[in-house]
Amino acid sequence: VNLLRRLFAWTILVEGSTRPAALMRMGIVALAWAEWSGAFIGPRSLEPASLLTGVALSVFGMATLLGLGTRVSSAGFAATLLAIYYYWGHHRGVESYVHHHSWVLVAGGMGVALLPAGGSYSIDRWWAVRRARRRGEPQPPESGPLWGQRLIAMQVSLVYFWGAYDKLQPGFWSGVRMQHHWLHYYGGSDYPRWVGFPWLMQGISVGTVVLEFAMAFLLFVPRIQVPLMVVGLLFHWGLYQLLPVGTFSLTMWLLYLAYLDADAVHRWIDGMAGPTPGDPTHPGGRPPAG
Amino acid sequence: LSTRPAIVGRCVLFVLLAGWMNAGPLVKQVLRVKAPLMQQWVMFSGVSLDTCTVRYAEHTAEGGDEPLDRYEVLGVERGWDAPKSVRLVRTVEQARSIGQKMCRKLGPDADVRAFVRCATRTGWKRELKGDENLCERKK
Repeated sequence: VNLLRRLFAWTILVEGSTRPAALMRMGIVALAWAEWSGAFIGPRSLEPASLLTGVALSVFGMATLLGLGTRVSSAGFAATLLAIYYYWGHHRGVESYVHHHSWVLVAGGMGVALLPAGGSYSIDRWWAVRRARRRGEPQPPESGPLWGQRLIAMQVSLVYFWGAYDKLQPGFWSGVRMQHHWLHYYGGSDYPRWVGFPWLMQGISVGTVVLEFAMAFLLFVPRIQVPLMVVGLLFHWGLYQLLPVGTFSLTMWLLYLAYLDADAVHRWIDGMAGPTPGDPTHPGGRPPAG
Repeated sequence: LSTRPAIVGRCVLFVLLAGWMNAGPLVKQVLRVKAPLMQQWVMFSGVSLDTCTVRYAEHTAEGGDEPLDRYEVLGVERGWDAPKSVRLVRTVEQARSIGQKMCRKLGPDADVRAFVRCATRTGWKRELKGDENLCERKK
């Protein structure tokens, strides 16, 4: 019962800084635009559904990116991503829209819509601060409920876990499927003559499965999540360099933010801040020029 | 702090969304049920299956096999810029077709053999073992 209560508090009641959510908010829009905006350019198709999707992607995306009416705009943006995935991908049969990297983007967009992602780095925040100043009130805190962050983290872990589960078959485990990929993308049909090629492929295969299973669970462990994320960043960087993964690597990088303690991220960003240029009252600040 | 209705709403949404995320791989990858609207995580499991390894040889009158370099015989420069149809053989038919082009380059008495293995989900499948004279088909 105690464990369930702690789990409930950790998933549903969790509150904290909105900065990681805001960073994910901006990142997801940039990545979704990179993935899909070209497909819904107005003049390319005058079909109403295409035009509507393009306008929604553009307008909700812009408002979400800037953090303008973020509650509504991010919900609209998530709905647009869902429409691209389910309506265009599944219903209309655009195969590339139902790829795994598409769903990770959709899940990221949905997670952002469930977060108070306009609480930081946004026009909403700017207005809230201005309003508070005008009224002589203290600045509103950059914090809110973060249960959506848990959902995003769960989605990332599911990608790793089931990705590794799918690889638990002799063809992959033995390294032969990796040989196929190597030849398909790089080597062509001449089987490499150099010693160790099969062992290297098997090593990469086993390493991938072990790493993915580890990432699925251990990214939730605060004490080791940062070093593990460094390994994950390198892993996805490698995937990006070696395979046509599109936006997948950067999306996974971005969504790592969901695992981190939001308040710790907030403090880390504060700790990075130097003296304000032109502020003589701030230690280290320069007096205004002239 | 959050109100009780907000917490209840979050609970319901969390369970629904987490359930949907987990149901996809469970239904499709474990139970093997076809559910097109659900998401599974089988990255790159179906790609590169159209890949074969090839090795060509000229069968000699003495019964031996002299290795043949398909790039050299076809006058194609090896490397990234080589035509993909020569660099990457995807099917047995393509391997035969390349062999037959080599036959034409080598002359009327050529006897070109191919050793071909093609990718399957579990490994390599041997398709040609060098026991077929690819030049004979054109005669």
